Amino acid sequence: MKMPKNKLDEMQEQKLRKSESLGFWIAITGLGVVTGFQFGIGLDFSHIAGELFLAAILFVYSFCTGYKNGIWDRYLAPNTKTNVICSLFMGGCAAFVCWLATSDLGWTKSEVTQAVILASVATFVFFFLLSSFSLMLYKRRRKQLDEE
Amino acid sequence: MPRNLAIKAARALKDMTQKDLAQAVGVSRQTINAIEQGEYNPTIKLCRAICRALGKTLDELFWEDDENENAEK
Repeated sequence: MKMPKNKLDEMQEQKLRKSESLGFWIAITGLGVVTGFQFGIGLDFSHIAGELFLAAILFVYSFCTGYKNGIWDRYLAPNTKTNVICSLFMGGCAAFVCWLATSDLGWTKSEVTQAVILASVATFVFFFLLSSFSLMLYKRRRKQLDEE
Repeated sequence: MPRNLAIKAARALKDMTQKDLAQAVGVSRQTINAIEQGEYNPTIKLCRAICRALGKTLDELFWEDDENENAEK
């Protein structure tokens, strides 16, 4: 199928790309907030499966395009320290969501605490392993591109 | 980025409005205005098109003094 001709000049194209980029981040952040909120108010997995699927597609797309071009992130350094900090942040978010989800289930304080700790540790480990694997792939790709 | 007065002066010499120059090089008037105001860095392709339209060289229209480049940094 023949694509229609681009009617924008170079400056307009740059401005549109910037706004599309911001839109992408609004979408991802919004999905994260909405999913966390829905989980926090006690909706089960079937209610948030659609949002999770879309968020997964966005993350996979973002990672794949970054990997292909040997780009890690605009601001974050590609190292283990950054991965630890980001994983700790995700663990913190999971702790908050878990606390929200369990606070009105009639559980005892210790049960809620255990659930929060388990959720935050599991999330930290998951994101740390995922980001470490991504870092390994990125470094390999970077080396490949630099040697081309 | 400092204003590009060289383009404005060259345009005035040829009695061209921003719109005329924009049409000549195939961009919008806002783009020409942004270049003259120093708000947008054109690609080399657009720089050359502007030079051709105004009958000037790249150095005459787009050369920047070292002190301006250092000020940007």
